[in-house]
Amino acid sequence: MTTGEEQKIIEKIIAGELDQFRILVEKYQNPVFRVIYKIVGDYEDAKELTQDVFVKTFESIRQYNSGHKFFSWIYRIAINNALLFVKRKKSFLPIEEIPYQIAEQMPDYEGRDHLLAQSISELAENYKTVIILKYYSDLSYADIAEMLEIPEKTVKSRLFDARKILKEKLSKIDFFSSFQYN
Amino acid sequence: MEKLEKEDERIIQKKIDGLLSVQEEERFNELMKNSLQARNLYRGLLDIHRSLEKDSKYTPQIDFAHEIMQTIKSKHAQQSIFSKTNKLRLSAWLAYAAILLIGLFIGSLVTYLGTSTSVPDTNQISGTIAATQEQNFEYNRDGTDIKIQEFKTSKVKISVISINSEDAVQCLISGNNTGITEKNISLQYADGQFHALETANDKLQYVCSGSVVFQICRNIDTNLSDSLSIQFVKNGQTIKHLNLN
Repeated sequence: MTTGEEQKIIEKIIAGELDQFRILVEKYQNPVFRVIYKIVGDYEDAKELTQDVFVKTFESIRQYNSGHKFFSWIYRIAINNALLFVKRKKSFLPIEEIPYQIAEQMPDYEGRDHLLAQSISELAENYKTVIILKYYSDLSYADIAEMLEIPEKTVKSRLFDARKILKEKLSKIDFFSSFQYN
Repeated sequence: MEKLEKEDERIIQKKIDGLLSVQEEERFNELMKNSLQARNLYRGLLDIHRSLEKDSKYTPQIDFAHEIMQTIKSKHAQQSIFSKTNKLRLSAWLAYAAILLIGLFIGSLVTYLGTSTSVPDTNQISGTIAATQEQNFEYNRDGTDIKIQEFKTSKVKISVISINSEDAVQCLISGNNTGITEKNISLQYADGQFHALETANDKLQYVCSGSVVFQICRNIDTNLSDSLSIQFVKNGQTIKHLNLN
């Protein structure tokens, strides 16, 4: 779907053709869910938040500025809501509780991957956002820059720093965990 | 060990994203050949990059489109058409004036059509054929004003309902065997929203906000054997329930 086609759909929605919104839901529900899921770390919470985001998007569709891409707008709503949710909720579950919860949904999930997820959740917001948008939304640097309203150079810089921080975190965990088995 | 330059770190990061220029590629190869620190950094960052890519594949797929649309449609029917950004442009007194004018006009028209071809002088109109004003009802509370005025001629009875409310007000109208249908209901004025919902339990349902004037017209011969019930609901609570004879 081109940007122009999307814009026409939005105009129809504003004109009262409610069912047209379904087209946007079907296109963006998984990308939005992925981003939210990565931030909040819980399937049910992410599911509920995703639905809330689409309802909020619909309710404020008249405020959508056609000068920006629709996905930038909806991702921003999604990220803001997810980050706010995380701030209000208690912090990440203890390690020993996670493998059981995750296993219900992703049988192949391994311990180290959980550590990666936890490390991402502990990143500062600006780093976390860029990592999630880059790896879990398949957005280009230009798209991320437009969405966050920052220069592309800043996006790259934050991503590079975020990777480095994750590398150092996981290096320490790997270093200490190697002693357990020696 | 010599610390890596910022620019060299940047080149290593760009290598992971596949964004190196020809000159940068040359510098990268040089770093891999000559710098243990550069090789360790590249290996570590590449490991993170691959872990992130692998992790992104673990996110479960969803299909909530049906649920989302159900929620939106439900909210839209009850809330989104009652946006609080709608401003009341018509003040209450203008709406009431509209009721009076409508009532007088309808009464005169029915009397005219029902009696002679000429418009009778007001003084000549007798009680049985003149449009007479029946009962009045008013409700003013919490930003919601409701006024009902009834007019009766020998043939019809007209209930004119005026609602002036920023919040949505639901009107449930039941005929109680009077045979009232949506054909008996007509919107006279709307500077707001007036929306018909699906009939529930034999009751006609309308949702209003802003300034709305509508009327219920009943034929005296067939529709007045039983009373007309009108229930006004706001925020899920009945604010008034009337039985009009």
